Amino acid sequence: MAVHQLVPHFRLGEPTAQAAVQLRALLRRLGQWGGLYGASREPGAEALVQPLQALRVQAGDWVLLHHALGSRLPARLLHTPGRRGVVFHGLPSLRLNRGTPLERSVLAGRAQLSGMASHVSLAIGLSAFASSELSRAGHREVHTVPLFVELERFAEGRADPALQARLASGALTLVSVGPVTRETRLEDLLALHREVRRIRPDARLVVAGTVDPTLGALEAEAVRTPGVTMLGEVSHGERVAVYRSGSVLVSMREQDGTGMGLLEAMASDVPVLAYSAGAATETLDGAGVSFDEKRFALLAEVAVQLGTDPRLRARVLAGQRRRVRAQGPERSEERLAAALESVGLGKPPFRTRRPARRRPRVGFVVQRYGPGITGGAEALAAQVVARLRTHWDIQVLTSCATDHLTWDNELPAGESRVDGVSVVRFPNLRPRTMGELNARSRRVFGRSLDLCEEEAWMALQGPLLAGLWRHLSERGGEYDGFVAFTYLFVSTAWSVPLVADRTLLVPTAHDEEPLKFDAYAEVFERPRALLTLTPEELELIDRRFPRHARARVVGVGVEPPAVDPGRFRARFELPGDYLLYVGRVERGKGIPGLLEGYRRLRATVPDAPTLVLAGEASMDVGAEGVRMLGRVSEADKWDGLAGALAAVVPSPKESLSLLALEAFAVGTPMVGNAVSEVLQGHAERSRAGVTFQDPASFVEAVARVRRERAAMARQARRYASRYRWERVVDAYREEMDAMVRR
Amino acid sequence: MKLLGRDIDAGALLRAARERLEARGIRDEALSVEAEPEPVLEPLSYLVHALEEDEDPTVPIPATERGTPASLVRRVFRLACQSLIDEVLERQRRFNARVREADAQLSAEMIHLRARLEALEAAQRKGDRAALLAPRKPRRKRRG
Repeated sequence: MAVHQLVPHFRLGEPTAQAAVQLRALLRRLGQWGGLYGASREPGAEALVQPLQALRVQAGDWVLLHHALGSRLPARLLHTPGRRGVVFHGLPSLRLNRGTPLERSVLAGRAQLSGMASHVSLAIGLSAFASSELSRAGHREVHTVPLFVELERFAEGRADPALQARLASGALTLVSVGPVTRETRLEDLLALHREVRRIRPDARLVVAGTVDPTLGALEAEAVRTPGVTMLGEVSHGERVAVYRSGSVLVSMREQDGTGMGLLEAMASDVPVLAYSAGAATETLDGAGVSFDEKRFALLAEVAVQLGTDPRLRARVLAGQRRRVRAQGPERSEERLAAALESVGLGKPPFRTRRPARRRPRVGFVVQRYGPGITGGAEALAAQVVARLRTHWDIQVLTSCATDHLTWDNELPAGESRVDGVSVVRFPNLRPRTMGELNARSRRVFGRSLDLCEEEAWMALQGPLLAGLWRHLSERGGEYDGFVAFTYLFVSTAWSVPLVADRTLLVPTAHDEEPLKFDAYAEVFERPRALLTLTPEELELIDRRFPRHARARVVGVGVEPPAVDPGRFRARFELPGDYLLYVGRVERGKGIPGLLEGYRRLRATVPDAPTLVLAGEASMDVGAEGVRMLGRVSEADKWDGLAGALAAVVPSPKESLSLLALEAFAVGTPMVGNAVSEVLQGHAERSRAGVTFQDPASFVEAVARVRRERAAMARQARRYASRYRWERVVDAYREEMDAMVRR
Repeated sequence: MKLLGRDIDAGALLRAARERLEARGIRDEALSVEAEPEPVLEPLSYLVHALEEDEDPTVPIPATERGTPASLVRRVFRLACQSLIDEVLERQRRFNARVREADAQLSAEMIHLRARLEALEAAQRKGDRAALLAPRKPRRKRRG
């Protein structure tokens, strides 16, 4: 059973899109999965929202329509199989749009709202005001599910610094944020602003939001008015900058369906002065200051007092903070749960108590799985499965992909067996192109984003395994527990909330841009426990998500087979010293930095060791002294590591570095990237590694390894002996048993 | 005007504001805001009216709906070619009229049937209630 949502037009940053993404996040927390479908989508949302034609409704599925002006979807909804519902944000006011091009659309929208009433089983208003409109239009099962704001997204640090600097001023500043429509009453804002300037001649009015094209004359008047700044459309960071530059947020809106702007202002610590119409009164719920008549001269006095009296301001801000905290995601989750339960859509049941002697049934969620699949987290998942399969009844839930760059569905979907373990593969909905992902990453990384933009990036990153999410939602109760790998991929990030209270997450986190996304908070905060690979990884998670779930450093086991370095030298004709890298040969792994360091080494040291790169290459590595072996077998890898002068680990982003540990286990030192705290930690604790941060220090590191190799080899073996599978297996079993016994 | 807010002394804030206003010699006036509730529309009737308004394709869309004023070129074109437009679109006009007629018939029938169904259901509920409230005949005791 899925709960799909239909959105007439999906545009990142717009209220309807925000609401759909928020509702889906809440649905995930309630164990329900569903897709987002748009009649049209704007660039950037293609992975997040599927086209309407892709909607396939299965028996028992729900379809919720976000009703909006000018939508053709109500007719579509009436003829959609499955159970139907409507999500109502509010419609523009007919009174304010009489005689305008919107009048007939408003009438049509209201007629559609009434027309759907007898054909839908659930009606969700995003405010009590919207719910009352639904009831008046004849809807029966009406529930109010207010939206929420995440406080962190409106913190001082999230404001766009450029706009904040531009708006910085000692003058009293009234701000208004949100699309400027007839309901915004720009004329009233201007009237108030003029009155304020009679008291404070330097006062300003900053209006952020796209202006309805039919309000051109009013916009021109605003632009001509002294002290008024019309910013037009703003990004999330700019939005926060506007709120935080304001002395008072003023709302003159006469029809506000959700009150989101007021919540955002309260989260941004700007006092609110709002006309009590639509959803404003319930949103403020006693916080801020509201008024019931538009007496501009009197309101100007109040606005000046509110913006300049520090004691009044402090009291109002304290009340607003309390109000925003009370209106958090938990409250919206409760209301949505109640709405769903009223139509028999309760949280999916969990497995009943298992017989004491039976092995726990555990699902492993990992982005790729199977023989020949390289990648740190994937290899780790395979090793953990291999060691726990005698203790647990394991089923691996993964994609059909072998290539982590495209997520192409190369392996057949459905159930198969890999080394005696059941593996269920789900197809990826949309192939990934690195060009598209990189372009989007350049646009969003380092910027302040809203939930919608973050989820759009996550969806683009992939793999999009709708089948997996449906499986967890419908059949998650058949498992006693789950072990999910790699927080970064959306296959894991959207799986964890669905079955959070029975999931152990192995985050494999390192310091990278997406870790700054607040959208990942639920992945770290909601599982039963986090199993990290190193103390550095845990420290990183502590810093980024202080409210994370209980965590434990578990690490991995490293048990080398019998090795013969001579076999490797003979096979690949490597008579002299060599440095060995094993893994994917790509930019993200720090290969360009390694090659630069190696070039310096060749230039300064006459008998420089050969640089041997073993692994699949997605970049050109041709250089003097560099040997490219392509993919090598496990036996060759161990033989090669045992005979190397040092293993090189150039990646700046490591959550464990299995390569370094494997090298240590066969007595080979490591030369690693100093940017990685994990590699630094290994080097310091083992005293068998040296780190580098530039070509000169790379040369130094290799020289030091040459001088101290014998001592380092002893220390390396001693350090690696801590990493035993026995301990790792015990830790996983303890955590799972604690969960199953619960 | 009333000020609302849990964290403010609304009365004092308003009084102070009024005093300052009076000191400045300004009389404040309220902007009247209509508190008319948004209409609830019967969708079938609305669609019949909407079809009627858009029935004739030879008539231009009113300027208020188009949003932008019609250009001079368009107006001249329409004046010069109206008879041609009428002729070309005559069939479409007739078709639209029949669609509207059919929709009006069906909608009226549907509204009538819905009302009738509601009345019957109400009557049935009333009958059921009456049957429930009616005194029951005492059961005869079996002999033997």
